[in-house]
Amino acid sequence: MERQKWVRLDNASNIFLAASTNSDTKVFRLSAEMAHAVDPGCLQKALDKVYDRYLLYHSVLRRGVFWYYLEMSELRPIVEEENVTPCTALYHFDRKELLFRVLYRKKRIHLEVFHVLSDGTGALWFFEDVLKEYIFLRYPEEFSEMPQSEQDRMEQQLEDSFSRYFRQQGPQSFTEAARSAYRSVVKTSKRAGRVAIHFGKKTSRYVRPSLKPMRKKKRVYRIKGEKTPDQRPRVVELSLPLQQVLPLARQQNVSLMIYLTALFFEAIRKTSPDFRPNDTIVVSVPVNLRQFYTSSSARNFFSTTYLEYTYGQTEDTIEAICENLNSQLKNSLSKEKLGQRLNKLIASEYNPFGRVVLRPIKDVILKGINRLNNRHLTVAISNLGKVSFPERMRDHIQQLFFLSSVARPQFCMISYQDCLTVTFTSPFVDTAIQQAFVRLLSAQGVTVTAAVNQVTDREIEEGRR
Amino acid sequence: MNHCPYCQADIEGNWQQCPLCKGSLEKRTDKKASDPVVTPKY
Ligand SMILES: [Zn+2]
Repeated sequence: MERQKWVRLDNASNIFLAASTNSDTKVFRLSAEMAHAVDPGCLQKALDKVYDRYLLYHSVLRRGVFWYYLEMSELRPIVEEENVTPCTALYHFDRKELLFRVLYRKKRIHLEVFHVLSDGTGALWFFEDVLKEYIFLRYPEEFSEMPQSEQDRMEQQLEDSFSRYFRQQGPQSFTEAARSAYRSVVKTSKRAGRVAIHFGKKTSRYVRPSLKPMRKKKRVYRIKGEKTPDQRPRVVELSLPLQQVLPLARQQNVSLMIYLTALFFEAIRKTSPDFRPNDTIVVSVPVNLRQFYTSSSARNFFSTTYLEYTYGQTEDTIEAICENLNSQLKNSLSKEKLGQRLNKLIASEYNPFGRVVLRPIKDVILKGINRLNNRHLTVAISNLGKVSFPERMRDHIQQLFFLSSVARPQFCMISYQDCLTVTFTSPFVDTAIQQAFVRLLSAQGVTVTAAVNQVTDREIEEGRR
Repeated sequence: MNHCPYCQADIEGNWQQCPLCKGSLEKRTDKKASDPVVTPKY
């Protein structure tokens, strides 16, 4: 009997599909700056090899009467020189196409992924593997001449990183690889008898409950502005030395992510003329659930938490904002809160609503839910943390980058060796917030290097000169 | 790479003025080894 080659799209991923628009394509990008110009032939070979291991990446998205589904395709990915704006749409309902692309330009390699397929962490595994294969193929002499002891050490380091996700469980079939991570966690938990999970909760649970009581009392500030002419995101990429920024966060007794979020809030308050003294800023923060629950799934496996700060309640110093955000984050990561959120996500997977309602109706409902959730959100951030590679490979990669398509201003952060990259993306032309953020950092003695893309006709024209 | 004295930041890429504050840039001759353009200009 032929093995099943399709999986119904999970509800958590359905929301990305419903929420994707021309400007917010729900595509995110991981990039690496290599030490030398990229060799497209080697990159293609590396991609071919890794692609064969990741069956999830063979998926195309199809529409049925009741649901969307991921179907295994025979398509092969082709690396392309970057000639479109970042995070261009990857899914078109009338085309059968892969849900990711690999691009290169000069010294950079980019992986762009449609969020329906995977989250940042899942995509990072794939990207790390492509980079490692690429380095092996591009510099074979370096690895063949290695002394045996070093070869063993490297083997161990590789084993510790990418292979572990697969070798732990043996090779996966397409349906195993493409199955919702939330369903996989139920399977694992049932077997281990660890988590009590309740299914079949009401669909209204899709709506973010934490914002309901807030609506009456607080005014959530929303950033407005002139959109970029062709809907490309405004990208402001900041390279910061970790050794200079980390101590600043430590001074406040908070993580780097919380510290930079506090600066982001301050930058918004300082630069928004219509910001009122008692306005609230709300940020959405995805939390990688793999840190808390065992899962080797490369599918979406995160929960979004919302942090907020209302101005004018106390002295609005960076210290106060940091402390406030930090305690909210801590609270939301408590075992109990995490468990509640995971249960809700799992319940939504098992909700019969997803199976019996016609897909077009479901699309409309999900779009409405997404709009409701967004009404009370100012900005977003995403943090992929620190990435490392085996010793011998380190010098071949100079810097890593992470950015996302956006509906509202956002930053994504990732660090590698001593470099922290914070990439702002925004649907708006204006860069006042990003500029204020830079000033807050440089005033503390941080060496900031900024790269900004051209978005208006005038900028593009001037850039050509 | 250029430097913006107001933002106190180095600015990569082909900009006539600082893309963050629109101020004048100080031209610097030292070039960073990296690819100076975050996204291509199309
Ligand atoms: Zn400037």
